[in-house]
Amino acid sequence: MNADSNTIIETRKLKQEVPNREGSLVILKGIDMSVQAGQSVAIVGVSGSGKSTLLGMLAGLDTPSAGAVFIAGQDITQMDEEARALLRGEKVGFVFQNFQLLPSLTALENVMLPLEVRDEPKAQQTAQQWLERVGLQGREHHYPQQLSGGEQQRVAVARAFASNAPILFADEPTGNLDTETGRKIADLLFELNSAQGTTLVLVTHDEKLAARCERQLRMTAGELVEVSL
Amino acid sequence: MSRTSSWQSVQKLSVKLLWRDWRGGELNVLVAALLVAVTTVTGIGLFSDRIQNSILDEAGSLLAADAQITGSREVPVQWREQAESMGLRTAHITSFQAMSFGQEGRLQLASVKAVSDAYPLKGELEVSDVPFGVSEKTTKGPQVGEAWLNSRLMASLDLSVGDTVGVGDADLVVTRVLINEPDNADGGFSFSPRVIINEADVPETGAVQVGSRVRYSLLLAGDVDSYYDKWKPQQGDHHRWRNVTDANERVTETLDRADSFLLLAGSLGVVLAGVALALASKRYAQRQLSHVALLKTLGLTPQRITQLYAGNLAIIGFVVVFLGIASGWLLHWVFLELFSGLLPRALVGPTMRPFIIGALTGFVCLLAFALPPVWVLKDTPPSRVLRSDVAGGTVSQWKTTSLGALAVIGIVYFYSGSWLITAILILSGLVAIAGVTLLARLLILAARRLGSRLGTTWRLGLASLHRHGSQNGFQIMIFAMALMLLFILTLLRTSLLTEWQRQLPEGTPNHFAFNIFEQDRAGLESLFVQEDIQSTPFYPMMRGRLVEVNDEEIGERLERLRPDGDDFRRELNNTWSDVLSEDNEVVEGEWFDAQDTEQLLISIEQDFASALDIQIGDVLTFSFGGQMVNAPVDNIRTVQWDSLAPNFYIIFSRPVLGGQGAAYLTSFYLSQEQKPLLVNLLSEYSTITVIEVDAILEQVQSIVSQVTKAIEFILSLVLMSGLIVLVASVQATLDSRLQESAILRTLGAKAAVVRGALAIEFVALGALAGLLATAGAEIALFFLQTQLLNMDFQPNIYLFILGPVIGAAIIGIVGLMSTRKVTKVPPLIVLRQI
Repeated sequence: MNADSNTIIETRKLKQEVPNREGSLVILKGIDMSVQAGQSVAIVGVSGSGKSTLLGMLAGLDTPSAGAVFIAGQDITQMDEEARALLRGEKVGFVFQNFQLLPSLTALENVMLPLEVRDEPKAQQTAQQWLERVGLQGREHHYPQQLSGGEQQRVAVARAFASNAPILFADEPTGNLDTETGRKIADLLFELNSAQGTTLVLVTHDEKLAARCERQLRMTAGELVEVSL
Repeated sequence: MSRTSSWQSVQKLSVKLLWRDWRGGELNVLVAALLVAVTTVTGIGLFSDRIQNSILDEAGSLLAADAQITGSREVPVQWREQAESMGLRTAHITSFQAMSFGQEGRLQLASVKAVSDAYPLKGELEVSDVPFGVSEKTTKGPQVGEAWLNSRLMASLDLSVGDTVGVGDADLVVTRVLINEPDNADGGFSFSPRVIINEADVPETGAVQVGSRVRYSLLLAGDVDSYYDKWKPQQGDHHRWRNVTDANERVTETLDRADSFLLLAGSLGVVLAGVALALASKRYAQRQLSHVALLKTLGLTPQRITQLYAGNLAIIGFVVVFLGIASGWLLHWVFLELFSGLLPRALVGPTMRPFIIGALTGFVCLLAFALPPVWVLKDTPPSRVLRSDVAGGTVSQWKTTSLGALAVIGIVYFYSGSWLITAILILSGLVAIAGVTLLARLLILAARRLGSRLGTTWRLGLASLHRHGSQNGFQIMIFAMALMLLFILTLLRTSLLTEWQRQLPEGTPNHFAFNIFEQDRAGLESLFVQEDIQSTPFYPMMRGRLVEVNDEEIGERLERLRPDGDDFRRELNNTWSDVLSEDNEVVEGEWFDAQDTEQLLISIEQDFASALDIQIGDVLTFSFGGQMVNAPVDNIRTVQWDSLAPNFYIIFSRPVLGGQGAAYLTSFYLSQEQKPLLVNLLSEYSTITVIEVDAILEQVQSIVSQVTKAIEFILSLVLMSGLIVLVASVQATLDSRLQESAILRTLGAKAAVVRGALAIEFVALGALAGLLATAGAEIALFFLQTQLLNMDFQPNIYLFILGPVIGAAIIGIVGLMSTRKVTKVPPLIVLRQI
């Protein structure tokens, strides 16, 4: 465990290999990194460089071939899926490129979802407040298909913050949006992040977006390098 | 967070998601398949349960009792006392012929039935106040001094209710018109117009004297089987035991076959629904993968994912089972309506069994077919939210298949109660599967080769068929199974109906005439020609008793062989003829040729011969009124007793005792309009006895027509299951087809090309499935018809052409209907939704 008690995410020799025809393909080549609580970190790189895979590992959505990932001091690679899910519920929020809203639930119900999973009281009230904060008052009872891409991503941002998780992972949050809408979503994301004091780990290939983060890490052929700003 | 509240929140979420999925139509096929399974099983179960119990309870009414002991001598008093001491209820009938006298010197020979006060023990008498009037029911016979005449006798004696009728020497008051007797189906033979009187009035009629032909019956109700065991050793030569099965033989066989068919159809319906359920559930699970991944990302643990989806299935299960049982209840009323004419008059309420079976079927189907794909949802990797190509949790194909196969075997056996049916169906299923894996691959490959030389649409269609090789192989198998079951049922229905119609074609004789003496024969024959009445040949008939087989006295032989059932010592009606009836078939030896008629030889009925272990060459001795006649057995034949044509156990090759004392027997057909001729015929030839069997014939024909309706109804239900399977199966691969078509359209393919390619793919799939289904169906039909239904098998060659055409048409239509949004909805929306 890192001596620095302020470290909220840490990886040690994180490795991911997948078997292929030639034998195996190494996607992550023993990555060591750490993120302090409240920091905003961008992981940049070209398509296929392994940034989304790394994000999946950091968030405990996937398990590595070797190495360890610590979230708030707990080695999540030693946990079973049951424990990882509980940890995600408490510590982690997500924003995805393709929004990942449940099409069968309304905007309000989608925001309520993580609160209900955690069995929080006043889920509806909290969700309502977050929808208002992202500027979607009056659209609570609309289904995702009735909303534009930007609006859907706002719902996703509201959902990510509503659970009050200390870490927020964002995977190409503006990747499916036009420049103007993307900018607005990015503004919203950073504004809420700083207001809530959340740790933000953002995967993007958009250099402008990355530049808004305190740190930038570049993923190249499975290796991670700190970009000096 | 407390466990209870966490459980509650999962349940709340579960119900919410389920409700949304239902509204979004995601669950339609799954629910429909389950509903059809539960409805079919409950409906058929309730129907057979109520019918069987009612028949057990009320079939006795065909005898007006549970059993009868009848004979030409009075039934010993101690038998009655013994029965009563065993707790049985008893009644008496004394039947005889007597002259009846009406208005203005009118007279008519009547068949008198004198009944004790307890008659009928089972069933009800139907009576009216006017001849041919609307009947009401009663469970009591006439009081002392009363007579109930049937409509025909009322008319011929010109009597009304309240008049006095002379029955032999007794004068009785007509208080009711007899419309129907519960034991009318007692052979259906009302020799003459009927009158029912009270037993106490018999002495006064003076008709029962030494030498008169009287039949005495002791009616028994209660635990007749244990009484039978006690009574059997005391039986003697003069009395016979009859129970419900004996009385009801013709009807039973028809109903038995119908019952087998219903059960078979029902279990196939469930199997089809099970397959549809498995497919629908697989697709449902497939479409939940990204939801599950998201829920896991948001912190829902695998255990709670399982709780959520198992909970959903449980909710679906309970709701659908409840609805299925309710609609099964409605369905059984439809069956009861269809069978209304031949059902016992008062139906016994259902037992709990059909409801339990319906519910069990629902949950077994859900567990065996729907749960496996949903169960593994918990293994969906959450990283699927980042990359949708990450595979979800998969069930081992082996495990699902064996679980499904086990459930199918269990279900078919459970409903059919026959390992034979189960084995036949499983075997044809295996043949179809083996055939599919081999043939489907070959044909798909061949189609691909062919397609490359054709136009774009064909090339796309056939390439798609080839590209999804294993998926299409599986789909062809499902289509082939569904089509096979449908072909089996449809063909089986057709051959069952043809068989029944063959048994009772239009113009089946509905009257028997006997006691026709030589001097009346020519006159009667010319009357038939003159009035255009179809008749069977005139058979000479002589009553004689079999007394010895190869010099062994018949009693000793019976003692040695102990055959069940019939009393072989009774007097038999024997005939002689050198012409073999159409409905008889010689199974051993040869029918009499010209030389045989020069000596006295015997042709014997097969069951009779085997019961008494009589072989060709054995010498039989008959007593004709004390005169002994010996003759060897020359051939053994089968007889179709239900043809309602005159038939005999024993046919001699030439006249016995020079034909002395023989009277003739014939049967003929009278339409309703020709019925009045009967009165002329009887008045002209007063010695002839005519038995009207048109009532019983009508009963049998109405059974056939009602059974037909019921069979068609259940067939349509099974067809529905089949269609659901097809829809479910098309839907199972819908997403990938939609996606490909959307891409094609994005690339600029015209709607006609896309639809054409889809049509070619589905039509080709359907045709291949139809061909395989035909092969499977023919094999299954061979075994079902020859082994189960005792019918002849005739391969249906046309099916080999029709099968693929039907398959192509059905699957083409279902496929195109399900994929119509491909060209209706903008491609981007299709791509986004997937």
